[in-house]
Amino acid sequence: MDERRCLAVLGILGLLSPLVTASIIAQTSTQPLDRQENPLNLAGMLDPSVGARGGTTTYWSEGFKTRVYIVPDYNVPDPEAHYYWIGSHLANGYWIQVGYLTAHERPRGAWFYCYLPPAGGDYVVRKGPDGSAGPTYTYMYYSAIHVGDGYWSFVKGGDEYLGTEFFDVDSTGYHAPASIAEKGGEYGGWLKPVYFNPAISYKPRGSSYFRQAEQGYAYREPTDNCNQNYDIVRLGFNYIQVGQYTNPTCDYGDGEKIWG
Amino acid sequence: MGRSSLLLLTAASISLLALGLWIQYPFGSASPEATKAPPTIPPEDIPETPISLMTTSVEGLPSVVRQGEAVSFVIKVYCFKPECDFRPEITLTRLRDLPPPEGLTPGKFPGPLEVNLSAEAPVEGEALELVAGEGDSAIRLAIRPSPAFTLKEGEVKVLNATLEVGQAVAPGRYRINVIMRGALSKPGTLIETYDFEVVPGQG
Repeated sequence: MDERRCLAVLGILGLLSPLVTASIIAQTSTQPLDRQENPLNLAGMLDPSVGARGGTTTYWSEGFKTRVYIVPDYNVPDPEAHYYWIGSHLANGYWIQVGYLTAHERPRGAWFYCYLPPAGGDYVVRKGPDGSAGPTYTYMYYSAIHVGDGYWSFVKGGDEYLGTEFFDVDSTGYHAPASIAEKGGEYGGWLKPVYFNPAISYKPRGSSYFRQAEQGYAYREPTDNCNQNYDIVRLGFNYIQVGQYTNPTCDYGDGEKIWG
Repeated sequence: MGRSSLLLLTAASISLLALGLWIQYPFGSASPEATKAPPTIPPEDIPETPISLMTTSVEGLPSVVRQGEAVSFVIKVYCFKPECDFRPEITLTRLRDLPPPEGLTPGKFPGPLEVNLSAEAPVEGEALELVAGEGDSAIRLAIRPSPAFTLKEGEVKVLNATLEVGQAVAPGRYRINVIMRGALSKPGTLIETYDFEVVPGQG
């Protein structure tokens, strides 16, 4: 009797396991890469952004960089702009960022960098011409690096200097760089998901080399923007895809660890 | 069904289940739940990037211009606010060749990337004319009509520009900067840059 019951249990398990397996495989094969874009009208909302911040090991760095996928977007309503960038506060409170933007009539893929002095100064945004972001559907490096005496250079690729500015400081201090996809203005556009891989690298103080961020933490602004379809998809160590998705899974809330 | 067949079916199914689990969580990796950890980095306010409410685009400016050559192109000006006062400062700079940043000596500033060319005060009127250098070494930029006007929201104005590069202008990379104050959605300055390279002329 016991033996029969045991066999019956094993039989049920045996019958169920292919179903479980099939479900797991199906789940694995429908990871977020397959999600389709589906524009929604979100006019009137705040400018949202989503991405990853480095951990405390990236503090006090003398440079940071990201490798971001260049996607063209011909459906950005004016005057909305979509930005994909890496940025950080510096030790003295300056805010700096570098990456690329897409817009409708104007640059459909142009590099840009931006800085904001501490204590409520005025923004300076500098941008290149249409098509200057880099070849579409390829990755491009964007970096900001301290080049000496308080000057920082913004660089595209390995050696294309976009500009050099004086910030009078040599490191980021107690600040971590962040790689972000951001919608500038809210006029109903859809923030195309892009890859950041590696999302965040930093140049430790005194080092000549960049190092990959050991940890990455989710960044969401506003913090509940998953409701507006913004999401962060972890594709590997220091490898994410961020933007707006039809069916966000909201795996990573603001501040939650993504890797490391 | 015999007992051995049932056992065989059970063993096969459990193997399949194990295979499925292995595909989902390969050896050495943890499940998503296990990799999540409580936040350990303090939150930080990241400023919103301002958008351009007045902007330009350039069509027809070649990336390479020969010494002694003159090229024509157009500058389009766009306005995305009720009224745009377009009175940019336009500058010409020369770009220095710098070593890749990772090849720099740490802490030793290699000098500025851009060197301002001493341009004469722009001549305004029906056209803006900007001249850097003298004689055969001059770069001359003329824009018609003069970029000093007001636009309404949604309006696009087309300007005709001519760039003349003297026969003795030093080969290298040059940059036209269009500097606009009040063009952003937040207080600040927008600088739009258009680069070209001067190469030796034919003959």
